[in-house]
This record gives sequence, structure tokens and C-alpha cells, in this order.
Amino acid sequence: MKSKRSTSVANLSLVSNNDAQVQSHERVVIIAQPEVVKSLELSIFLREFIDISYSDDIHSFLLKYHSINNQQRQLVLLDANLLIHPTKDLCLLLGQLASSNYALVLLVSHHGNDFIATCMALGADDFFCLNASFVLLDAKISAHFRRLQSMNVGLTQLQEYSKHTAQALHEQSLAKAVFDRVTDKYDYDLSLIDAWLSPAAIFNGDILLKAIMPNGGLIVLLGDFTGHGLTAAIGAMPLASSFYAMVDKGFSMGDIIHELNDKLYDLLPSNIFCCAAAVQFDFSRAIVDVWNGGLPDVVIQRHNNVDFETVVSSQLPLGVVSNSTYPLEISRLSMSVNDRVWLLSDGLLEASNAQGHSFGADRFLAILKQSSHLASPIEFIKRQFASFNNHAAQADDVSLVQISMLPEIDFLALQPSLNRSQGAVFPSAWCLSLTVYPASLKYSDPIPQLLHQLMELPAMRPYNHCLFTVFTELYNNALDHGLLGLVSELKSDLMGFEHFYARRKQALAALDSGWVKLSVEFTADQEGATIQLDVEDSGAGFDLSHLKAGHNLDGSEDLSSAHKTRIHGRGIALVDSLCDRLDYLGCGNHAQAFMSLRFQ
Amino acid sequence: MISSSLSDNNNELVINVEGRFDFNAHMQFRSAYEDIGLQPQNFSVDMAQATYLDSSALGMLLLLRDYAGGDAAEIKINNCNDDVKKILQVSNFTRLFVID
Repeated sequence: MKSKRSTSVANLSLVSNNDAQVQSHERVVIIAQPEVVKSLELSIFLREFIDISYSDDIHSFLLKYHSINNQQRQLVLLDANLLIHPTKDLCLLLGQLASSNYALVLLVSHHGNDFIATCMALGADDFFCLNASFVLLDAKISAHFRRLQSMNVGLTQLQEYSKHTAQALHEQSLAKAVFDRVTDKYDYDLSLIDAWLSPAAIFNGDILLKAIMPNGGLIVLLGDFTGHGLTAAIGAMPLASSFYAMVDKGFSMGDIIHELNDKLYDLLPSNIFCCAAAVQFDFSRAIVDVWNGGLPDVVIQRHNNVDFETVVSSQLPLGVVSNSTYPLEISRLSMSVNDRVWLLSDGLLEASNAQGHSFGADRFLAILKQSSHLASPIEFIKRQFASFNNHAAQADDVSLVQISMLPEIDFLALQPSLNRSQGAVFPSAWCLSLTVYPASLKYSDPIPQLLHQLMELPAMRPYNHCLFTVFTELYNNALDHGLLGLVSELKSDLMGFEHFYARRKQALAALDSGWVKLSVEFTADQEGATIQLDVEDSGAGFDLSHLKAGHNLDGSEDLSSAHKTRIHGRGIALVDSLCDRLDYLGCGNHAQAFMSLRFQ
Repeated sequence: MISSSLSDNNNELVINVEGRFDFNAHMQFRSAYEDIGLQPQNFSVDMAQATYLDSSALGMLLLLRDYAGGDAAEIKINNCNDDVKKILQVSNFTRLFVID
């Protein structure tokens, strides 16, 4: 630093820094006329630790400015006499300094108060009268560096914080990508489900899972994990993968919930758990099973009744206690077409507006009531929510899901096109035949066993739902009508359904002779598979002309017929629509279904 | 704000929760029972001054329950206002804690 003293004061061009000086954290920059610099020297040159450079006019300073290390704390002493056009010159200088950590002190002599006040209004931080004691200038310089240093600390912390935030966001997007892959193949868009979810719901801890079950039903689960960010996302992965694995294996809601509880209880620390509610739709019997463990009331909205039914949370959230102390409480409700089920997390109800009012359950239900006749009630609720909080901000942790009851045939039509999957590496051809006698007919269902055999080939798995339906319908027909001699007319109304099942139970218990024979003939290669299913029973068969009066065998229903609205008799039409061919042989006691499936 | 006090015979620790009981109270709540240097027989949480609790607060209560012996622990949660009580009821924590 002392070497600087040899710099000619008379020749006051900008002194370039040497490398050692660039390392210094603090520097004083003097932009001043030669005589001013000279008078300053005695004072500040005593500060060995300060890196000093000079300039004798603003423009030459600005030209060189880029060479100054922006990390340094800079104290700029500006000779006020150099401000020829004060506003313009000062603004130029301040603009250049803006990105650095600096303080600007104006060196004044004869300048008036107004001039000084104007400069400070423009951005000068302080001033020093050159005729005052340099002790004061020293004190000012120390004070300004002290202030700049504390700003530096704040700035460094801010940079650290930004770095951590960026890292957290990166980790979240990674977790989201993994999570999306878990749910991707099940991410079908079913129009009976409408949902309002924030885009990054998983990082609010909210998770919506939905899957079509092999028996043709639908299961939807809404979960709300403790915490936010990665904490919440961590539990979502095992929850989603167990959920889908259990659905694929053909388990029903109760078993699935127990598995999920067990999984989360095992994996997560005890302060992380998942409030959840689930609903399982059985479209063929028009019933839903509802379970609620820690979410706000699940709401059942009837299409023809303004009053709601609710399923309140009756259990601990998932992952809090082990299954041994977690007996399931599931509510079963019968449903009509267009009845709606609503699932929601507490985000919507707890959202509050500028006046401090929370949205609340009462307001939600009142809005739901107004929306009953609308085709897309969620849009309506969103608008009502926006006006509630005066369009201030979108709620970022809202999860609201609505599912409508559909006729079974409409639900089957909605099911997504089948997934791409690999064909058979080796061709296969086999025939499996199974004859079931009363002892087994009473207590066991042979269909899962047969299906399991077919699903050995991965390419067949997308057809699981469809095959399950065909096999089950034909088997049940053979048993109910062929062997037990029950007539479908018993099922003519909803009470009849119960009557029918009571009679069935009786007849099955009394059954002591007869059989049902199931044969599956299967061939598969790289391109696809053919399946011929024969279901024969020892019963008396039925009159085929009776069947054709109600249904055309191409799968379409006879619109002029009163059969369209009747509750029973849909089974055969459904099977027929899923098969390439469906024939009844013999005296009607032998159904033969033929399906040709293509692997994509 | 979390504070705690031991009964005269050191048998019971009372943890007082004031204001919002959420993730920000995490460290304070934990040290309220971990840093007292002894293991009292009974624990209770006084919610008289608590205005709100969220799911991470429920998680903290579960951690306290673990600390106090898990399924064998009997922890009282006293003086809950209606909002707080509602949250404890919806999550069915009434099965794990004695709620007054």
C-alpha cells in the first residue's frame, strides 16, 4: 500500500490495482482533483489495510470501473467539484456502482446545503467538509465500512439461502419425476372423476390415487401426509406403489388399506403419517364402500336430494398404529346413477381470506348445494372460492375430488385403451380344463385361479379386467341359472336384488349334485393371443330365442325393447360386447366365448 | 411458544402450548420433554393458550407418545378449544390420548 505513495499525485489517472490489492476486502476509491487528493493523503493513507485507487474525473473512473472486484466493500470519496452536471454525473456513477457493496461520501468545500441535500436525495450516502478535521473523515470511513460489512454478512446469507432453495427445488423435481413414474401407467383420465389439485400437490403432502380394479370396480384414495416438501413426498412413493400393486393383485379396499397402513407404519418415523379417505365403486351392484381415516367428512351428494350424507373420519390416519390395533370401519352405501361422492383434504376448508375468515365446511356445503345441477361443479366451486378470497391468490394446497356414479356399461366404455406391453417371447399353446362340483361350488371361486394362469404372460395383464368380467359373468350364469335354477326376473327391482341373493345363498347351501366345467384354450405369440372359454353346466339350459328378444348378439341392445331399463340381464350383453364371438351350444347349457387379443 | 413445568414431586410434566402449534414449535416442543434431565411418570399437554394446531403438531404429539412409552403411555391433552378439539377428533387422536 505504501508503494502507492510514490504515485505522482500530479498525474491522477486511475491507478490500476495489482493482484495483491484485488484480494483485499475493503477499498477506498477516490475520485478527486489533485489538490484534494493531496490533502486527503495524510489522513487515509495511514490505513494500511485499505486498498486505494484514484481517479480525477468521473468518466475515466467509469471507463475503468469494470476492473474493480465487485466482491469488495467500496467506499467512494467523490470530490463534489467534479460534478459538472450533478444529476447526470451522479446518476451515471451510482448506476455503475449499483451491483457492488458500496457507500458514496461526497467531499464538499464551498457547496451550499441545497446542493448537498440534492446529491444525497439522488443516492450519496454521506458528505464530508474538507475544512473539517480529518479525524472525522477517518471516523466516517470506519463507520461506513462497519455498515457495509454487516450488509455483506446479510448478502452472503441470502446467497446461501438461494442456493439451498435451488437445491431443495431440484430435489423436489427429482422426487416428482420418480413419483410420476410410479403413477404414470395408471394415470388414466376417467371423466367420472373430476379433481381440483394444486399442480405440485405431492409437495403439499396431498396425493390422489385411482385405479380400475380387475373386477371392473374403481378405487380412489385421497391422502394428506404430514409436513411439506420432500418430507411429504417420501411417504407418497411407497403409498402409491403398494396401492397399485394391491389393486393389480385383485385385493379389495379393506385389504388395500390394511396393507398401506402396515407399509407406512413400518417405513415412516412416528411423526409422519397420512390422513386419507378412500372410496370403492361397484358399478354392477351400484354400491360404494367408503373409508375415512383423518380427512374431513366424505360427502355423498344424491342427484335427487338436497340433503347430504357424510362419512366422518372414524379411524386414525394411516401409519400411526399397527394393524393389530387398526380394525377397519367401512361404510357401504347404495348409489343411483349421477349420485356424487366428494373427497377433500383440509386445505380448502382451512384457507382463509384477507379478513381472516376461513372458507369452512358450512360454506363449502352451501356451495356444493348450489352446484348440484351443474355438469362441472368443481369449476363453480373454484369461482366461488376466488370471490371468497377476493381473487387474492390461488389456494396452493387444495385437494378436492368428485366422482359420479355411472351405469356399469358406461363405466366399461370409459376404460382407457390398453397399455403397450411385450408379446410372448416364446409361442404358447395350452388347454386347461377344470370341473367344479358342489362341495367346491359352495365355498370357492375358480375364476382367480384360471386368470392367474393366463396372467403368467405379462402381455396379458392389460386384459385382466376384461377377462375377469367375461369369466365371472359366464361362470355366475352357469351356476345361478344353470345349476341353481334361479330366474333373473327375481332381480327386477333393487329389493329384488337382495331377495335374489338370499335365494341364491339358500339354493347353494342345498346343492348336492351337478357340476360346472370351465375350459380355457390359449395360444399366444409375439403379435397376440387367442382365448376360447367354454363354460358348461349340468343344468337344463334355456331357450335361446328368449335371449335374442332382449339383446342383439352384436352387443347392442334393442332400443325399442323394455329390456333396456331393466336391472337384470345385462351380463350377457356385456360379455358379448367384450368378446369376438359368443355362442350358446347344446340346449343352452354351454357357453362358448372367443377372444382374439393383439399385443401392441 | 412452548413452556413446561414439573409437578412438585417430579411425577408429572405439564407442557404448555401457546399460540399456533405448528412446525415452528418443533424444537421447542421436543426440548420441553427431552431436556428436563429426568423421566417423569406422567405427561400432559395444556392447550389452554393454543389457538391452532396442524398435522405436524399431531406428529409432535406422536413423538411425545413414543417418548413416554408408546402404547403404554397415557398422555393427557387438556383445555382444548373447539378448533383444536375438532382437529384431534377428525384424526381420531382421541384413541391415543386422553383428551379433555
